[in-house]
Amino acid sequence: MLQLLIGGFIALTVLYGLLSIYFRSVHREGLENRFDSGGEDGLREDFVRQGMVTYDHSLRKRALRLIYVVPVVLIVAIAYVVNHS
Amino acid sequence: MRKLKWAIWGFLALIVVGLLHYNLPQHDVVRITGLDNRQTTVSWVNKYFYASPDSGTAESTTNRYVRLIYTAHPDGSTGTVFRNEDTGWIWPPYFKYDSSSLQAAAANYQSTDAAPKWVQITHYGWRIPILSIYPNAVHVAAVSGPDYTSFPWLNVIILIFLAAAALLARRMWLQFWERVVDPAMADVQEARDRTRGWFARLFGRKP
Repeated sequence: MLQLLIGGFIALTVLYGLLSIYFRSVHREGLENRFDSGGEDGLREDFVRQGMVTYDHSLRKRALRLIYVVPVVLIVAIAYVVNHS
Repeated sequence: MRKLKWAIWGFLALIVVGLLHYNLPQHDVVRITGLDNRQTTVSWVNKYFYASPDSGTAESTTNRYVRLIYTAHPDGSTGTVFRNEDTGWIWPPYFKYDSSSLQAAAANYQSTDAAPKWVQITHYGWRIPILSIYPNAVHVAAVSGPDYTSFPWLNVIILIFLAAAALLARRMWLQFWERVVDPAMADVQEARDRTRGWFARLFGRKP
């Protein structure tokens, strides 16, 4: 049980880190592509930086924290179905 | 070389399929003919196919009582022998801790050839006699008859989820190459070109 808690927390933290890097990278690429396709004013750097600041406060970014919640819910659900039904 | 590559990929695919086949739940419609609680020696050969020593029913690694469920197939032939052990909290992730209750349910369904009660046993694992390993029963439920079948929805969902996870991992890897590794390589290339130019000027040759 303790092994599951500690090991699971470490594994989920690694997964959280990797996924947050990936989604940030995809978002940045999207911003760069949007600027390059034209129609935006100002410097490319400023545009991308502004977009990333917005992203860091967005619900989409915060939704990634569900990665800690979903497995716990899943484990409780599996344990309930296997043992108490 | 290409043959070797295919051999390695085939070997890896075999391992993945084997792991999935061992760990995913399967359903058997059987008649329970008997129960047993057998003193069993778990050796280094088969210890990975038994519950880990720290889980509920298994207090010792080498010697333990293992609950067994004997079954018969609908056609009358001898069915699989199942074991009934707690899984513990790590692997496989069934989080089963009710093996005593499961044994009670199995005892309740025990029946004779003359008055059969058909049950569906959900289990994972393999029966390999030479290793003395048994599939682990996870759930037992009464069914309408020996011809009862059910579609493995859960397995379909799990496989779709795993495929999606593999696809995501691949896309993450490709994104990493595109955004991090390739620009770094381009930088290195550029730096090398610059250095060459500098050396060429130093030694009076045209770059």
